[in-house]
Order: sequence, then structure tokens, then C-alpha cells
Amino acid sequence: MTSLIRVEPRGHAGSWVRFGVPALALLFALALGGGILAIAGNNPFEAYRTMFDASLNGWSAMSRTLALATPLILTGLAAAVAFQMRVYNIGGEGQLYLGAIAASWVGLYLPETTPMVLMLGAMLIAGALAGAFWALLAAIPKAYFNADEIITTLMLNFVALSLMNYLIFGSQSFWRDPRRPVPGGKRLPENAILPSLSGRLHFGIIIAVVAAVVLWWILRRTSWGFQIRTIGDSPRAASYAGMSVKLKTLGVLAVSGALAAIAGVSEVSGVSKGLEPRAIATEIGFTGIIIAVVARSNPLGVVPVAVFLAAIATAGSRLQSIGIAVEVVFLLQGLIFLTVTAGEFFVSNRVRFERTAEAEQPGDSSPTTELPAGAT
Amino acid sequence: MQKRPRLHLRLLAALLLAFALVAAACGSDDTTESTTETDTSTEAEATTEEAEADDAEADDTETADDGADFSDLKVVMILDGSAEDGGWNTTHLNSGRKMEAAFPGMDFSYVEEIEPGQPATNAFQDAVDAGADLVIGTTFYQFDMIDVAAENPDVYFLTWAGFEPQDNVGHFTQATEDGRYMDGIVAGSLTESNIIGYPVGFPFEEVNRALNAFTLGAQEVNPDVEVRAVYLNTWFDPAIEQQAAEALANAGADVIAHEVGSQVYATVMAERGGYVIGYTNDWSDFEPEAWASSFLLDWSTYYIEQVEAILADEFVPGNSYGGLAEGWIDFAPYGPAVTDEILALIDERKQGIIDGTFDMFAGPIFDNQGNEVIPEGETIEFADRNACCMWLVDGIVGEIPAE
Repeated sequence: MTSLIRVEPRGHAGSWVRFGVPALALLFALALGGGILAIAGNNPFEAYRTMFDASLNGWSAMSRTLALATPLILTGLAAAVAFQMRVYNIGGEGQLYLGAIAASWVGLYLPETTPMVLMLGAMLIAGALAGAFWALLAAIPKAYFNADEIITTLMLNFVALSLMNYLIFGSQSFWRDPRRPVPGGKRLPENAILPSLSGRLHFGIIIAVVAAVVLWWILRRTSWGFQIRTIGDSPRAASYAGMSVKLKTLGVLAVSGALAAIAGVSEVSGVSKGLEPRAIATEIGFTGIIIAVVARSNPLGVVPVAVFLAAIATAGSRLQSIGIAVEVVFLLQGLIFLTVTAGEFFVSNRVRFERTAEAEQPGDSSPTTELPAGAT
Repeated sequence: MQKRPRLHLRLLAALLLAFALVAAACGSDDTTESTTETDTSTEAEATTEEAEADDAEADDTETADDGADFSDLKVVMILDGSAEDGGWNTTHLNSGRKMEAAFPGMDFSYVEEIEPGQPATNAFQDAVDAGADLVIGTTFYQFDMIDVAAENPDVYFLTWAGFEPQDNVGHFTQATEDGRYMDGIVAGSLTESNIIGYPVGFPFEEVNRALNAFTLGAQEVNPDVEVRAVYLNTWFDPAIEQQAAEALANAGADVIAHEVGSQVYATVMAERGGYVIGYTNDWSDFEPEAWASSFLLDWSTYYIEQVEAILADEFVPGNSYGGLAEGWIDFAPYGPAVTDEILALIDERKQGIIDGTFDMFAGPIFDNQGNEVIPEGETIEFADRNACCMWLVDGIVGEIPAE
């Protein structure tokens, strides 16, 4: 009478599943979070109202959320493009620092009078190249010596962090502002700052969204994208079909590194306006990995997931200011994100309950149990 | 003969299933456990907060004699770490609570764990939107708050170590050296090996200045003392700190003065019968036998002055630099090994700094490369100290990492 739980992928999820399941998951998260808030002595309705006001209600709140989402979209894309080929770039964080370092160098080095378009263009290119270079440091050993890119990209994050800290805290480098009582970067000139669209929301969001669309188009509509996805599905089949797995590994990691680095350019040019390690090293690169996983490596999926995560995160200080303890705020933010992403599992998979008796019908035994005669 | 492997596989499958079940059970156990933990920590938090609120009320009754009501005044403090860190942030919050007590009815609140960057800018904006009259940023938020301050000229801002001039913004930095000199006297008197270990965070002016003051203090009571400085390039990393503490102890250091955040130095020194000197935190209860001293920071004098100035419409923007004379420096209880003679000397030096009769930076002072950095008859004026030092005084073994 016991039943067996069986999980199987859904071929194509109907629209009620695709929208209904996340909605139910959100409701479930809000109910659970409401319970926690009530236990902690807070009014759940006031808390949710504040969250909504802080991140989604009206253009000024939305622009805050989008500003926070900008680098997350880019690092999410960086992780997603690599995941498409089953290459695991855990180095978005370090590639982002390299982008910030290179872009701020260009912004400080070029004359202040350089026209904004040229200045920003040069910063973007320099940042992207630096990020691609940093990713290639892991991609070349991966392609030619089969070195595990998870380890190498991860370790390179720490090298990049040390480099950035050295430039600001450990030396009187070109980046460091000598007149500051606490070490920090020189301010970028006016023309090296991404123009503001509204309040804190800057031009970076346009770069991020365009990057998402272009990446989606490349992956879906070009032969390079097709090859990437084929290699992701089966590297052996792909190389049998004449695709160069080595070159694609280099290419995909370079693109991935460049995207993460553009997030660094966007942060340094649109937000911190100088190389400020403490404002830049905020785990945007690592968060991108989570975003890519939740978006199932779909570039167009990365955008809403990043915005959703930013919306949850941006409400933090407002929640604290209505008297909710910071631990409860973090718990609530984590709970909502976790539940909604767990809901995603039920969109792509069907769960079935089957009777054990059916599962153990004679003749149902798997062929793997049949060993060739004389094996023992 | 052919059936046996099948049986084995069945058994294996059953075992795997059982293992999965156990794992699942353990998993769910973990979840419940962590939830309970969170609950208790929240409760504990609530209790400490209540206790703090009680303290504040108690203070209230002491100071609220003129019956003035400041309920129109809203002050928000923004902390970058946990308010319960027992160090920098706790010090600021306690100073904020003293300020709250000095202005009965004041609406004082704080937000914590606010990272520099966009989250900080948002937190400053939120404070303004919530109607704050004064927003206090307790770490280097200069560029996170600069636009918010420019857009809201009617709101006042205080931000630690800021320097961009704005009419509604005050900057503040502490004269750590005033406290560190006294810690140096304690260390110099306690060491028997004449080797003092000093693990440092990052090499920049304020940090080097404190290290220099400490060494000058130690040399006043013990001219032969050698201070071994090790730059760790971290503010908090117990593993690296543990290594540094043991390496220094092995090199003969019997006193360690640290400015990097963890308690490992106290543990190592307690094991070896040495002494530890803290950094802006009163950890006299932790390894009490090894505890020697620590200067503390108290920002409340500054906060209260600024609020008074705002109320009187006499706010002065720009930097405030404060030490002993300004009331910004305080001291944790001294450890049992510190003699009365040394305590008397410390009191004398404190008084000397307050009166202006004692100057720790009076020349001649040589650096550890043999250069005369402050000639005879000269000094570094108090107002200029903030820019000092990119050199280490003679007696320090160690170098500022290469530029």
C-alpha cells in the first residue's frame, strides 16, 4: 500500500503551470514568512507592504530595483553562457574585478576632455578584454590540459581580489587617491560616468538588457550558438561531428569573462565612480551563478530572475527601519527566493505517486541486473 | 549461481534506499534545528535590545532635567556590520544611545549590515525619505552618500573619514594615537623579552600612525623594546591571525597588541603566559589573566555636539578630528598585571595631552630606516596628524609593504 514517488521531466509545461506554480510558491513563501514575522513580533502585512513600496511600487522604487539588478543581469548572463556548454565558470566575481580595474584605469588615463562616447566605449572594451583575459587563464588549461575550470576559475577570484586590494590598500598605485584619509580610488571624470536615466538608475541597465537579447539571439540563431549547445549536450558527439571543443571552450569562457567584466565596468562607472574595493566586492559575481541556475541558463530568463532577486534585496534597509531585526530580514529574503526557485522545479518536472506493487511487477527488472552468463 | 548477483544488487538497492531515507531524515532534522536556532537568536536579540532600551531609559532619567522634548528630531544611524560585533559598530551604536539619552524623546534608530555601494546609497535615501533630520554613516560611505546629501540640503549628514566638502555634511576621524600611546606604555612595562608583537591590518596612514604612537609609548618606559609589525592585509581572518599570533610568540613576543579583529591573540598569549592588548574593544573578561589594556572610542561627545549645533542652527560642515582632549578616547579596564606606577604615569600622560603639555610627536624622531622624520624642536600639529604617517619609527621591526 506504500507508494513510490517518481520525478520525471515535463515535456512542455502548460501556461497554467508556468505561471500558476510560481504564483503559488510566492503565496506559500509569503504565508511562511508571515508566520516567522508574527513569531518575531512584527506585523506581516506592514512588512510586505513596505517591501512592495520599497522595490516595486512606483517608478522611483522600480528604478532602484533595476539599478541593483543591472550588474546581476550581466553576471547572470556570464554564468548562463558558460553553463550552456556545461562549462562552469565560477570566476565571474574575479572577472568583474578585472573589468572594474581595467575600466577605471582607462577612465583615469584618458584626458578628461575625451568625448563621453569614446571614453565609455574605451572603458567597456578594456573592461571586457580584461575579463576575457582573466577567464582565458582558466580556459586554456581547461581546453588543453583538461584542468577543472571550477577550481581554477574559483581560485582566480581570490587572486583578482588580492590584486584589487593591493592597488588600493597595499600601494600608492595609479588608481589610488593620495589625498584620502582612508584608502580609496581616484574619482572618475564626468565623461567616464555612465549617464543617469532616472535617479540612481544608469545607462548600464540598457547595456545589460541588450546583452541579454544579443546573447539569446547568438545562442539560438547562430551556428556558434548551436555548436555551444550541442557540445553542452554531448561533447563527444560534437567533436565527432567536427566541432572544435577546445576552441569553443576558449571562446565561451572569454565571452563569459567579458560579460562578468562589463558588470564591473557598470559598477565602477555607474555606481561607485572610482575603484572602491568595498563597494565592488559584494559577491555580484557569485550571485550571478545562482541567477543563471534558476533561469536554467536562458539569457532571457536571467533578466526577470535578476530583477526579482534585486527587488527582494533592495527592500532590506526599509524593512529594518520599520523595526524588523536584520536577521529576520535576511531570513525572509532568503525564504522568498528559495521557495520561488524551488517552485521552478515543479514547473520543469512532474511528480508522480505510484504504487510499489506496480513498480515491482515481474519482468520490470532493469536490464542492468542481468549479468552475462559466467560472470561469477 | 546466476541468481546470486541479482540478489546482491537488490540488497545494494535496498541499502541505497535506506541510506537515502536516513539522509533525508537527517536533512529534515537539520532544518528544524536551524530554524530553532534562528528563533532563539532572534529572541536573544530582542532581549538585548530591551536591555539596551532599559539602559537608555535609565540614562534618560539622569539627564532629562530640563524637561525639553526632542520628539521632532529623527536621527538614523547606518552601520556596515552587525550592531553586535563587539567592536566598531557596537561602539557607534552605544555612542548613538548616549546621544539618544541626552535628547529625551529623540527618535533614534539604526540599520545594520549595510554594505558600501548601492545598498548604502539606498539606506541613506531611505533614511531621508523616512524624515530623518540627521543621518550618521559610521564607515567609509563618502561616495555612497554624496549624491543623497547634495539632493537633500535640508538634511544633515555625518560620515566617518569623509572629505568632500558639502554644506550639510560633517566628517569625523579619531585620533587613535592618543589611545594607542597609553597602550604602548602598558606593553612596554609588561614585556620581559622586550619583544612586542603587533599584527596590523592594511598599511595606510592612520594605521601606521597608531603603530608609531604605540611604539613611542612603549619606548618611554622601556627604551630597549622592539615592536615587530606584521601587515596581514585583512581586518578579520581568524586563521591568518592565528598563524601570525603563533609566529610572533615563537619569535619571542610576550605581549601582542593587535588591531585586527579576532580574539585568537588572547588565547595564544594566555597559553604562553603573555599579555594581550586589544583594539577599541573591552575584552577584559576574555582570558582575564592575559588581558592588559585597550583604548576605546566614544563618539557620543561628537554626536551630541553636532545635534546641539543643528538645533541651534549653527552646524559647521567639514572634518572633526578628536582624541583625548575632545573626549573621543576612553579606556577599557586595565588587566591585573598593570602596576599602580604605570597607571599613574598613564594618568599623567593623559592629562598632559588634554592640557597640551605633552606631545608624543615632539622631535627629534627617527624612522626605522635611519632618517630623521621630525627634527628637533618640531612636531606634527594635531590638525595635520591625519596625513601622517607613511614611515615607521625607529624600534619597529617591519616594513610598510612596498609601494
